[in-house]
Amino acid sequence: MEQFLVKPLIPIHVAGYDISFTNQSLWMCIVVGAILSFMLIGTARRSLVPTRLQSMTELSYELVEGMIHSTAGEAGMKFLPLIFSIFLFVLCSNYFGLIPLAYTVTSQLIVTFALAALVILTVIVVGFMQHGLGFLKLFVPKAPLIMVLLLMPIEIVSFLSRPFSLSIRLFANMLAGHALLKVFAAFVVGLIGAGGILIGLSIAPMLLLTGVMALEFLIAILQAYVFAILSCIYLNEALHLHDHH
Amino acid sequence: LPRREPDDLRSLGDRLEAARGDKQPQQIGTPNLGGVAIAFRLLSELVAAVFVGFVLGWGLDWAFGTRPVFLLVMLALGLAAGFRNAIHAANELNKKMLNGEKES
Repeated sequence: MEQFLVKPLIPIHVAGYDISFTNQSLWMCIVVGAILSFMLIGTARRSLVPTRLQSMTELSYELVEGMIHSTAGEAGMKFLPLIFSIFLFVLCSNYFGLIPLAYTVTSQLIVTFALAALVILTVIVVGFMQHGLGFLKLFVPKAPLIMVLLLMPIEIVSFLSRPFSLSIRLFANMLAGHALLKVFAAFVVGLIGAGGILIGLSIAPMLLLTGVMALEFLIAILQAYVFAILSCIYLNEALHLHDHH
Repeated sequence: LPRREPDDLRSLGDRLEAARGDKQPQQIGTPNLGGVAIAFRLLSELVAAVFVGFVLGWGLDWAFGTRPVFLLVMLALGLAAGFRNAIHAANELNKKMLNGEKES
């Protein structure tokens, strides 16, 4: 579908690699720029009685802070910048994608996978830094020896599947939602194009389209939230191993 | 701008309270996951693990030239891991829902 095409805007080729500046890169820059200006302008005055914009920045901060505190505890607070950045980036990418003619950055698997890989690599590094080789105990369930031998490969595969489930979930939600919007919009155009009594019928997919659009707004924030909270849960496991079960 | 006096703030607080009436301020908290979102979460856990099992098996077979031995073994492991993940996720959501009911 045309809306998911990656088009090079400024072709750049270095040593046989295509590193062109694409519409994808452009929208990433727009998203990051929007977040930066939102936070910088929102926190510029730091008045005791906040303006609307300052309230919005404070609310988003408190949401993520509460999320980390409730899942990973006090030790997780040092990952607030990471989780907060990921949450805002995913949230803004999802919402900017709903603007007509905009490009949805998170509808590309490689983008969501890069974000998920960042989280999982952080988990692995933090886990080994905190517990040394003891981190490998994550793969040893509390069970009799025979069961441990059986369950260990399953635990390892299940750990390896995390970056995939994180990235596929976000990517598939965004892709499916936008494809659905496109299909319903095509129905409307097709019915109007057919003329006659069919023009009247086009109101049905139009109403559905409105409903799906509202649903997309919900999914956009929900998926950003799910991505962030699962990152917190994985970080919590790296920090505390099995303690908090 | 003139410096705000504490009294100023207190009166502002009083006025805010009066304007709010009996309406409780909205709590920021976990948004309620819809049914579709829960289903999607469980499904993606399952699918991702099977996918990883498939890729690992394929890679090991490619490395040792033993297709389809590792593919079958790792697919079975992936399926088991997928069910384990889905069950864990479902338990977590259950626990969260029960806690939510207790709090309210």
